[in-house]
Order: sequence, then structure tokens, then C-alpha cells
Amino acid sequence: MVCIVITEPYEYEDLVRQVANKEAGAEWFVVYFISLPQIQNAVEELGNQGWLGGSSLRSLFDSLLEGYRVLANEVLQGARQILHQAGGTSNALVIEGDFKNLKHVLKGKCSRLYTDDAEVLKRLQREED
Amino acid sequence: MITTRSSLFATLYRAWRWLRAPHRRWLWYGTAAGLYLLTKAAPLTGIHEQAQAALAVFVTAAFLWGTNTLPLAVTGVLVMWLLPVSGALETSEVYRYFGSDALFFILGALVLASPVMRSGLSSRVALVAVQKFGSEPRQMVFALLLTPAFMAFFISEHAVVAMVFPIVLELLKMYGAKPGDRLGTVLFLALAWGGIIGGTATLLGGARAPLALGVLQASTGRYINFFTWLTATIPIVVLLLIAAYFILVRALPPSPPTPPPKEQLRNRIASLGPITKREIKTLALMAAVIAGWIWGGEIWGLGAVALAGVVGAFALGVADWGEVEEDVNWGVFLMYGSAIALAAALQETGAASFLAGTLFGHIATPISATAAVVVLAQLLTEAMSNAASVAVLMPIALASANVYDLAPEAVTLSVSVSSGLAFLLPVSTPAIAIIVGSGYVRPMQTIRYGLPLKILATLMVFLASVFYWPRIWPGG
Repeated sequence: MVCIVITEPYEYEDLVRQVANKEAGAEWFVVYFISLPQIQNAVEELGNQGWLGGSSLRSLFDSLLEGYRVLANEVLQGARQILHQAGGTSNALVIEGDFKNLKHVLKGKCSRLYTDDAEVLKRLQREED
Repeated sequence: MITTRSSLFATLYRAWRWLRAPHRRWLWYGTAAGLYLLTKAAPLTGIHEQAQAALAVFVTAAFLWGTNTLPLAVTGVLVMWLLPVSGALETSEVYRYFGSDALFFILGALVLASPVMRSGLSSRVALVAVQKFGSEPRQMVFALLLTPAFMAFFISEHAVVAMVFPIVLELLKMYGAKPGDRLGTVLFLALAWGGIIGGTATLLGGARAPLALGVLQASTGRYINFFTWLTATIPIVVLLLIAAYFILVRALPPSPPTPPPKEQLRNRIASLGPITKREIKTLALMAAVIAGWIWGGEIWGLGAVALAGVVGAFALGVADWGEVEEDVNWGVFLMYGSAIALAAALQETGAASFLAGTLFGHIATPISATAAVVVLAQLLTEAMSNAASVAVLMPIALASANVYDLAPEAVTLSVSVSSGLAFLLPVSTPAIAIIVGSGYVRPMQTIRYGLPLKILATLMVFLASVFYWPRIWPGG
């Protein structure tokens, strides 16, 4: 199975088109990865700068996460449309968590992996080492 | 395996992430220590030992606040330790500046914001405003600029943006906006810009204004009352909101999506239920406290009125201590108190005059000195938090006011208002950080759309500094 890991909503179309051309007709597994530690860090940073109190930070974290879920589903829908046009079959999943969760879901599934974030590849390789 | 994301921003972001990796934090600490030692030992002429010590603490604090190497409050603690250790100020003097009226005003205002948020009043105001203005995209832009702007007159703009954020998400869901849609970008920009612009109107929109006021009081003994501050800033706020509206309407997609059915918004408001007693009492209390700030601020002090409001909030049963403890970021008091003490140290030792002479020495006229202060504040606030920008610039700007015979109150507004108007980068203000974090606004879009507004804002503050504020406070 060919895996595509998407981490942000802006440039996924380029990545998916590029991969669809390269591996037309393959079986795809498209993942939108929402990194919870990354959101947590961003929100904590706002607290460190003295901008927001604990409850505002928590509700902001929840709102951001909710927003990302909506975006993730939209992105996966768009990605699957592109892949469908390229003639393959695809499954899609939103993964929320850290790299361990991502690695656990991808383990044994991917013959090849494509992503929009080099850091994901590095971290997955580091986890394997 | 392939990866995309090769933009300039991504490269810069990767470089920044590399430098900011936790195991490289020692580089930053080392640089701060190096700056302190270099400034303390530098063979400077025309400055005595105590002033040079204050200057060394200032340079170190400016670096740490500017680069966010430590949480702002921790840098505040470092300043409190370094000021006496370096010989710039006596320990008891440093602690004395924590007794500032401005600091207790900030404390009271932040505590009072808690029941406004917790009672549901703020969400109701935001939703009703959006419903009243209509759900066509242009009307929505208008509502989302005006509502946070108005709310930021009374509570911190950061809290306003965080609070209205989920409402904008709901609206976008109702519109069926997709990632990358310009409607999402425009509505989130309207939210952030509204909050930012409105936050400069009163002393309540952000703690940078009371901080600037505290530094003004500690350094010169002068004072700006609540109402005068509002009358001085309101023309800029109105003009900038108009400019922001036209910039955002131009950025709307040519064929905007169909507005959501009105019932959706009506149902959402209905889900809040009828207005509660807690909301009504909170509204009445806030009105009374604001009246107190306007008419009694000069007599009793803004801090005393705020503290009376806090007592009133608990007496009326609208505030809850558990909630207040969660809602207030207590660490900021260390930052603000230490910033006021640092400014006073610079002033008292003569380091501020030395800095102003070094920075503004080649400037010949008061107008060019004003331009330099405004431009410096507008640039600095994009690179560091706006409170840090006030803490760094106020002592120098006040010293320059002395040199060029400018009214210190006008200079205080030039710094404070400029420092509040950060539209370009997420590092400068949480409003921008929050909307970029939403996934609907690309980081480069905040620069692309924000730049014209930033240029206008700089021009407006400069014009107010030269033509309007000197009429309120003539001469130095």
C-alpha cells in the first residue's frame, strides 16, 4: 500500500497530484496527521508570553483541535477525489496524537510513504531506529 | 519518498526551529549572559557606573523579551534579581515599583474579565452582533471587525480573539468554507484585526497601555486619565477599522458562497438560553467600574477603582475565585512590575538619556524624533510581544521627549498605540498567532493583507503624534 501523510491543509493538492502521477492505479492510504503535542506547544507558548490564562488556553486548544478536525476531513475528501481520478483505490484516516500514534497506525501498512513534512519522515525513521 | 513545502517561509521556519530546539537553549542563555557582561564592561564614555549597570540589565532583558528565550515572567524575575546585583538599584527600590497603581489596575481589569467571559455575556454579544449585522460575507466582515473591536474596549484583545475564535469556526462551518477558501482567511483576519485595533482604544484592551502609563508615572510623575486616553485614540481606531473593512472586502472571493440560513444563527443564539441574572449583574458592574475609571480614576487612582470592582464582583456573586485563578495569567505581574522598575532605574541613573542621546543624537527636529519613535515602535512590536516592545521603548522614548521638549503623555501614546498595532507576524501578538494556528490563514497571508494596514497605521499614529496629541498635551 502507498501511504500519504498530510500535516497541513495548504499544499496537499500538489503533493497528492505528484504522487498520483508517479504511482497511478495503486492502493492508497491517506492520513491527515494532527499533532497534538504541536498544538499543545503553540498554545502553551501563548501562556508563557503572559497573554492568556489557563482556562482560555484550554478552550483555545479545544477550538483549534475542532477546527483541525473539520479541515482534516475536507482535505482527505479532496485528496481522495484526486486519487480516484488517477484510477486507484484509497482509504483515509485522521490521526490525532503524537508520532508514536502515527507510527502505530502506519506500521506494516506502507510499502512507500509520501508526506508534505520532512520532519514526519525523520521522526518516523528515528522512532524505527 | 518525496516531500513538498519548499517555500521561503518554510525554510526560515525550519532554521528558526533548529535554533530554538530545547537542547540549543544554552546558545540563547549564553548570548544573553555575553550581552550583559559586554555592556557592563564596555569602555563607554559619558555614563557613570550605576547607569552602565542599568544599561546592561536593560540590554539583557530586551534580548530575552525580544527573542522569547524565557517566559516573559521569568525574564521579569531575572530583572528583579539583576537590578540590585548589578548595582543599578537597591533591592528595596526594585520591590517598591511593584506598588504601582498601573499594576493594580491591570490586576483588577484581568480579574473583572473573568466573569465577563464565564457568564456567557461575551459569546452572547458576539453572536447577537453577527446576527444583527447580517450573514452576507460583507456584513459578516463588518460584524467581525466591529464586535471584537468593541469588546476589546473592555477586556483584553487576546481574550476577545480566543473567545470569538470558536464562533468564527462555527460560522465558517455554516458557510461550508473549505481550507484555502478566501472567505475563511478574510473572516479570521477580520476577527484578529478587529481585536487588535479595538485593543488600542482604552486602557483595558491590553496590559501594554497600563504598563506604558505605569512607566510614565514612575519616570515623570505624570498621568493620563481613562477618558483622555479614549479621546486621544478613538479617531485612529475608527479610521483603521474603516481601512481594514475596505482591505478585507477587496480580498473577498469574487463569487462568495451562499450565506447560511438565518435560522442556523438564530438557533445558535437560542441555545444560549435567556439572558441570565449573572450576565445582567456583570454588565451593570462593568458599566459602574468604567464610570468609576472615567470620573473617579484621577481622584482615587485607576487601580483603586479596579479593586473596588473586584470586591463588587465577589459581593454580587458574579465572580468565582476558582474561575479567576484559572482565567488570570498571574505571571504577567512579574513582567510588568519588573519592566516598571527597570524603566525607573534607567531614568534615575541617567542611562535612558544616554541611550536616547546615542539613538536619537543625529536627529535634528522634534518631528523627526517623533517619527523615529513611532517607526521604531511599529517595527519592534512586529518582532516581539507588544508589552515587551513597550517595556523596551518607553524609557528611551521618554528620555527623547525630554531632549526635544515633547509632551511625555503624547510620547507615551505614540509608543503604546504603535506597540498595539501588530498585524504581520504570529510572534508579535496572540491574535495573529491564533488565526494562523486555525489552519485557515497562511502565515504569508497575514503579511500580504496586513502590510497596507500596517503602513496606514504607522502613518496615522505619526500624524496623531504630530498634530492631534500635542493639542491635548501642549509642550513638554
